[in-house]
Amino acid sequence: MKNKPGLRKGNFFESIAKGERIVTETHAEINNEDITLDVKEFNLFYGAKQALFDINIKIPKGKVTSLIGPSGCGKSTLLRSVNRINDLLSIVRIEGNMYLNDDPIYDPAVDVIELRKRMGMVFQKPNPFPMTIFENVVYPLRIDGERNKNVLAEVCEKSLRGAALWEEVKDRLNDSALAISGGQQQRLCIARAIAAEPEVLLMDEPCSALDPIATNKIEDLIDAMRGEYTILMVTHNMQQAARTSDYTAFMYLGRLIEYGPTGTIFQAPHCQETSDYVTGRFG
Amino acid sequence: MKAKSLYQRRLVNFIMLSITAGCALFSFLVLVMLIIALCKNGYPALTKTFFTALPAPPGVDEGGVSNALQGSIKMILFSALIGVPTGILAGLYIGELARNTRKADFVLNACGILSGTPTIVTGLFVYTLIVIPSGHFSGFAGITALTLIIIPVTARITAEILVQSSTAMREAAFALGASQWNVTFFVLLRAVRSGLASAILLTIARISGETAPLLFTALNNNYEADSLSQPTASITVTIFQYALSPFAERNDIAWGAALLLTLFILAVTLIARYTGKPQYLSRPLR
Ligand SMILES: Nc1ncnc2c1ncn2[C@@H]1O[C@H](COP(=O)(O)OP(=O)(O)O)[C@@H](O)[C@H]1O
Ligand SMILES: [Mg+2]
Repeated sequence: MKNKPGLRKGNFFESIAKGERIVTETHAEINNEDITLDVKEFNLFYGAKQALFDINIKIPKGKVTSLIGPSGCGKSTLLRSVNRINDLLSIVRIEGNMYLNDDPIYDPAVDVIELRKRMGMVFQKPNPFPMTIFENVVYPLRIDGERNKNVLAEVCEKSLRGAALWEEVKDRLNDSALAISGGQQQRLCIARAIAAEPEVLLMDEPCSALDPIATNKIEDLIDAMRGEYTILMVTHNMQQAARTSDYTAFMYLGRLIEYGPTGTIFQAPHCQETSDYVTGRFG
Repeated sequence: MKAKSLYQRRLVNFIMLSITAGCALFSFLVLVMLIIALCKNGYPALTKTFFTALPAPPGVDEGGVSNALQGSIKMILFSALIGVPTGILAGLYIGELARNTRKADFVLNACGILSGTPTIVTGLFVYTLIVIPSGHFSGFAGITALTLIIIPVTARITAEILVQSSTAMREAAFALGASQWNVTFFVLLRAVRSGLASAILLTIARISGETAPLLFTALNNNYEADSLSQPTASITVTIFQYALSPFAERNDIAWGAALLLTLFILAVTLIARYTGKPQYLSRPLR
């Protein structure tokens, strides 16, 4: 296949096969952004198996950034490294560092618990706690020892409104969170994740377990959160990335291949590999 | 290879179905016969005296098993009160706090071996550990034996339930900045509580039927034990001794006690079934 004019010569796959180091094609637009999360020279190993290679990526403040790439390329691993939830697996070893608003994430002096409070995470499957809707939302405040009923109620309403769920559940805040639908549960998990006003919101394929209608609602919500929240989202679904995100990063075999504004990545990527992937030639 | 004819397949199918259905019917019939025998022989014995009177001398009517009832309730209650929390804490260590470490594996395997040990061996162990040094059988020794049965079973079940069912919520809680303590007690234990409660009820049902470990330890007593340091009567040992007795009225009481015990275990099992209904994500995702 011939390279389109303007496309950089596609040689990433060859380089990966030879074990050479990949230098990400990062578009210049990123330099004009305020950076919330800065990943520098990050490598991650599951035991002897390396899952992330030399990742360098800057996540802009107040924007929605999508991680795309074929299954198993390390998107979830990268996301789970940001809040160090991968620490729960004893086999994980890392090199390099990340910075959340200039504070190092990986550092012996870092209090992981305090660090995680500065981030929110939404998982593939909705995972509400077996408590009431109210208690789910205010859980992040509870673990900080907040007891003031007015504060809790205020945060609960604000977060549920922020997750576009308030109108649906305001009359049954004391019902079990397991009694609402899957789509509502996922928005509840988003409300819980934003209750402590995180500096960055991590979402790992937040719609993959939901039907199209529930998916639409979450996408609308992500759209509405733009500006107020910094969102880093993994998605398997390229239309979703194209519809919802400002920036898109394409990963392949543990490497970050190309990273730039979503429109450019989908319509005029610099790299042949990205072009092949977004046009559905592989993946 | 030649394809089997439709006729052949149907024949094989029919034979297999008949054999399996026959076996199923057989085991069901055994249960029915057991229940009929228990009710027929045991029901007449369940009089007021049965529950309120102490055992009568052999050959005398009017005897009851009030002491054995009390003894069983006491021993089951105390062993559950000690064994269940200990087992749960051990299970939390294996399944959460030391999750995936070699130490946890080691303890888990030890619990596996312990819970597979025949209970008569546990009884013998407590006999040499407590009964011989103290010079007499006692309710305390009985409680120790039952507790030793409960702990490994509870620990293993707790660990298994935790490992199987909690990854999603565990990660969600840690991701919000919860401490290990908070995750363990406020999220995980809560998430598995119904399954855990049902497993614990089944364990209690199981130890309620234990005879061998009590025979060596609490033995029996014709009177009400004043304290747990005395030999203590229990329903199961009473069944064992009365059933072998040459006196007909004692045989009747044994039947009554057997019926009572079966009803109790049945009730606990049914409650456990009901309690154990999975709740988490039991609704379809929409
Ligand atoms: N807990 C784990 N232990 C070992 N290997 C893992 C683990 N989780 C993920 N991996 C491996 O890391 C690679 C990246 O996985 P993942 O980040 O889940 O990919 P993605 O989210 O892009 O589908 C895969 O090859 C996967 O097999
Ligand atoms: Mg993934």
